[in-house]
Amino acid sequence: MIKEKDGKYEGIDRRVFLKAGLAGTAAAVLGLGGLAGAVQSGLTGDFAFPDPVYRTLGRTGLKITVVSFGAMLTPEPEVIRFAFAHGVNYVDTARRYMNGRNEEIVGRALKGHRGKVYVATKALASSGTREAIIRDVETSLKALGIETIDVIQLHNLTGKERVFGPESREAFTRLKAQGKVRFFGVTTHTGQTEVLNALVDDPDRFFDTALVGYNFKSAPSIKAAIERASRAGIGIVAMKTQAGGYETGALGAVSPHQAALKWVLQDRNIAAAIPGMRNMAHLREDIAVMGMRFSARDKRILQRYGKAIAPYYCRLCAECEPACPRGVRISTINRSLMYSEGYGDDRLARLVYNKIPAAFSADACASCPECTAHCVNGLDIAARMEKARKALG
Amino acid sequence: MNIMRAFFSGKYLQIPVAGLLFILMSGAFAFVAPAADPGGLIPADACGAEWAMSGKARIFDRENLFEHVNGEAELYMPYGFRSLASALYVSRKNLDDAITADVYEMGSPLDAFGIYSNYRREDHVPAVAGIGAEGFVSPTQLIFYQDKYFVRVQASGSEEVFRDILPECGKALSGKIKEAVGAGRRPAVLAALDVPGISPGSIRYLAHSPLGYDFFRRGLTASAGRDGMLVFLLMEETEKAAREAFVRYRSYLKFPEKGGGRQSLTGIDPLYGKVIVSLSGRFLVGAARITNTEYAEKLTASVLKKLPAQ
Repeated sequence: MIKEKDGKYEGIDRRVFLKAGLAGTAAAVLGLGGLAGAVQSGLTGDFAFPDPVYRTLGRTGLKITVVSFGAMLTPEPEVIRFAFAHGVNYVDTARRYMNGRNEEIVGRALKGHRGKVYVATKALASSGTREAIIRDVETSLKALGIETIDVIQLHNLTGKERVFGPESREAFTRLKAQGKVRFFGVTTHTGQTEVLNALVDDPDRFFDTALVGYNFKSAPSIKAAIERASRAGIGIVAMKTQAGGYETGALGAVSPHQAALKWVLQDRNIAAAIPGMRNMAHLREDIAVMGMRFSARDKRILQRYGKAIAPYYCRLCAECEPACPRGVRISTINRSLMYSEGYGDDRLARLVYNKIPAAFSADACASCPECTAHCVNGLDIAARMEKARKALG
Repeated sequence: MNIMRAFFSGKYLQIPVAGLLFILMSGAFAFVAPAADPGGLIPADACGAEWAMSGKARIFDRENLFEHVNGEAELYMPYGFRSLASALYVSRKNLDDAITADVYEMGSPLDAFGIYSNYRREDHVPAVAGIGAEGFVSPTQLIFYQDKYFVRVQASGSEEVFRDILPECGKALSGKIKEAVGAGRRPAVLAALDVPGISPGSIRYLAHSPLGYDFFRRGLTASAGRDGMLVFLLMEETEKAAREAFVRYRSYLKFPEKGGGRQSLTGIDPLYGKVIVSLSGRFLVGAARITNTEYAEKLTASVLKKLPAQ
């Protein structure tokens, strides 16, 4: 049995725990079946699920596990059920995911666990009328096989307008009166700061939760908006927390995956994270983070990760382009390189590259003695343009 | 455009070296028809004269797919998603009635079927004949796949308007795809699960971690029988890789009565309970969630007989 005491853990050899977690990380990121298999097999003996760690989801008062379940990518209910059986008590799905099938998968996973798991889902973003939202929720209830949705969310808000939409408020209020939903939330990927601030500034304090994209690369303004919302009693759930997609191999058998999750959870304004978990390796890797602290080692991992991707990681901000006297489309060229290097899709890389007029392609750089464009993030633009010229030109 | 969000919307999707190797090894792009101009697959008159395309078709790629389908974009990446052409058609009679047509180019016909099978329900209503390799229709949407394309046509507005128009849109889009790459047949490997007892509408292709285990690369699953037994056909690139996957799975199972065999075994899976698995060339065929072992053995034997040539 693992117990948290003053931020430390008793009853488990932490080295074994970390070893298991990191090996799982490497397997998942590098896609090494052999290693993954070894890890999964090994974990059946060595791995112990940590005791659940809970935080309060804002003014809902729900005590939810800090690592909860994003079900969107999980095709087998057994994987979700396994998480429930080991204490995970909050699952997030949506009417849209898999055309409603994802809710059915969650519904199958909930059988026998409903009494101890909170369910969050989302109405379709395209449902703008009261009737459409009510219809969505009733369809969700049927698919999930439950009587009440704990958190019903408006899906994918990009600004403050929908926060104050009267039709959705009417629909949610009616559904709550009927006992079909308990709490109201929103989800947002873009315009997050505006959405969060609108929730706080709403005089009715209508919405109780917000599901937001948040990771160690997030802008300080988002972190500040989260803090403000959290202080106002909005329960904040984080998604897109992993920040681990662009592995380079430069880090060896270590990915920033767990470190990134820990980075998010060190922010006490976050009630929970909902990483998507496709399989048992992901599940174990993510759950293992529960109760762990963001350490100096994690910080180093994230720094190494940032450094490793820096030579070819373009944020496509295009701030460098005005400084180029020839008007080279630097960000588009970098995007082409990303398709080639990051996705292994040379066809797409050339497709994008070839759409750039020749005068503004990387060929234009060949006649410049020195690159005057400067990347605010330290990317070597001249080297990238040369690479594009050779690889795609 | 915020590439950070695109990068971080995928957990393990953008892996330059390992990802490229996997793509090459998986053969995902083998025998695939040449790509068509994505925008050219959505004509302005796809839904007839009464429906006007609003602006031009928008094209999305791996980087910005999330802008159109939000976090669901992650679902598409393991299936070799390449591009999406999307158009909005608005009724000339009633501006509240609209149709969104999305044509996704996936990595291969099997990938297109795979993403399609994620949306199909066992009790789906088949789309009218002549639209794609397979499809289904509801009052507000029509979904089908054809060759390496996955097509989703969705309506918003008054439902009665769309009963006839959705098939018309579907036919037009299917016709355009046919002009570009051909009619597109059902991927041959699916025939292995065409055996009595397996629900045809339940067949799915999972391009990532079938059964929830990442030591299985990809495979087909389907349900069978009244108890929802899970039948699976897992595919590896080589016999050696299949053998390794088999051995790994064997080490993961428990054997309360006797040890697992070298070619086939019966064991207890921690997630699914009783399972049977057989190794055949580069395939693993088996069943899980078993309540009737004899039935499971009979059914998997039927699948083994129908495996494609090694």
